[in-house]
Amino acid sequence: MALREMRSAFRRRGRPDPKAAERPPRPEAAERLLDAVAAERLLDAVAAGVVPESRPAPGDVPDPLARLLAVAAAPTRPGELGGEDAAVAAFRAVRDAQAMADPTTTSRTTGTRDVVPGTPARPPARPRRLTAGAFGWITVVVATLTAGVALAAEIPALRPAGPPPRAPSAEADPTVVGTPAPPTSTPARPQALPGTEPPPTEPGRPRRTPPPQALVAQCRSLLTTGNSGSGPAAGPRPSAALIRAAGGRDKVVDYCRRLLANATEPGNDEPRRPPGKGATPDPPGKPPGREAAGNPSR
Amino acid sequence: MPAELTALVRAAQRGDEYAFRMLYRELQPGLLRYLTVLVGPDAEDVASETWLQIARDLATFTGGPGFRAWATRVARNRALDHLRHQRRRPTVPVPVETLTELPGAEDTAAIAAEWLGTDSAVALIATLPRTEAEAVLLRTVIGLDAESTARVLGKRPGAVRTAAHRGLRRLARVLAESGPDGALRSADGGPAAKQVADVRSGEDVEAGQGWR
Repeated sequence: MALREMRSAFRRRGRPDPKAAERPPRPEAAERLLDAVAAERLLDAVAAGVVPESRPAPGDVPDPLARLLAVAAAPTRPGELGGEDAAVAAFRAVRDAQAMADPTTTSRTTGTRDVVPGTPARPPARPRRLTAGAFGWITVVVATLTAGVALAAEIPALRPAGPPPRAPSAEADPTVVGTPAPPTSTPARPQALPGTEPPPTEPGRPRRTPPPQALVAQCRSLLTTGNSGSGPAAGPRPSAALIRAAGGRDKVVDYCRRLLANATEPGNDEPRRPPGKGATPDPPGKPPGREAAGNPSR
Repeated sequence: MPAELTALVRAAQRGDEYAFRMLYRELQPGLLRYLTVLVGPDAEDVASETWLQIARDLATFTGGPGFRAWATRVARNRALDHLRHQRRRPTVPVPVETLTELPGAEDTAAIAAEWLGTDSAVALIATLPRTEAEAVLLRTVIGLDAESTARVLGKRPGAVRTAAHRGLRRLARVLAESGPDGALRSADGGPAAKQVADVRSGEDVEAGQGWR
């Protein structure tokens, strides 16, 4: 019955469906089927968040259906906003890039290809390139986030530039020891401007590479003093940075020996790999050194 | 709240990061559920792409069809690109077996709150033929009207209404036949799973012969 009404309603809308009209309605289901008016009402109610609490009228809206739709349209659940920070980072990167590229107009955005009817006409969509563009932006966002994190991690360590070898620089981070302080005018906002030419290296990266000279100097003093006394522990206390770099207080001596041995080798006095990568420069012929290095910066 | 949404869009277009964040919170849950119907487990990835593009193209949004529809259109295009790229047909995102994990409803009155989680509800809607599923979801979960839904889907409003009504009828039939209390208690291949399978196998053909 309701089916017939609905079908006739559809026909009135100018969409004849002769095949459907020929089919007899299922008797067992017909009672519960809703007509077009009730369907529209239900759709609107769910969209508005006004879910019918109970059956509004006999034969009108089946309760389970209303509940199903209401549950489908339930309020935000916790896991659904997981990409929020990434999305905001993308927004920030785009905004800054556009502001930098063209502060007066938004001409950079004219390359968009997804168009909703009603917006100004644009060239036809080219999905492949769009997808590639999206992935490009993902890369940009990742780079931006990384740069931001790197910058943020370094900011507290900006104060003491150039650690004295023997000074108890307990909080000195091995990743920034001896690093020239970045200009303090640089805000925490990521400066990677994706639309413009990307810098050859990521902005945060070079500063994260630890210059080992400070550690070498500490090691040198530690070993010389320590060796002359009654064991290394009696010497100057290794800095926290050194301990971290070595992977533990008890590994400092080993680490220093290897570091010094490596540093004094001609042409190899500047280990390129940061200790934080778990790959402390091992002198050739000392295989067990790797485990001593561990993963100190973590 | 369209006025609020419009204000947020304007602010975001002026570069207001907080406004953009609020837009995300407002739209993302619905978009994610909609994308789940389209691309299944890849919904989160496609949602990320969607927001990247929204961020990029926000300045070009002129307010025409409404931001909600605009963003939904972006999401849909991303999803279709994704599907084309993967060269695969959209499938039921959450297997019907998931429905068997629904807790048994002792209390009929508590069914609405307990027996059906959002994922299961979306999964059940996703068993509809795609146009019907899209029409139902866009109108309920995203909250678009028939005209905006039609624009997003590239169809006429009448066709979208028809699709939504068909989808609702199909869902109502499944729910009605799955038990007197309407609960989807389908443990061990119970009625709901069977009905959903029926809908998938037989009724798709019916839909295919319809207005399409």
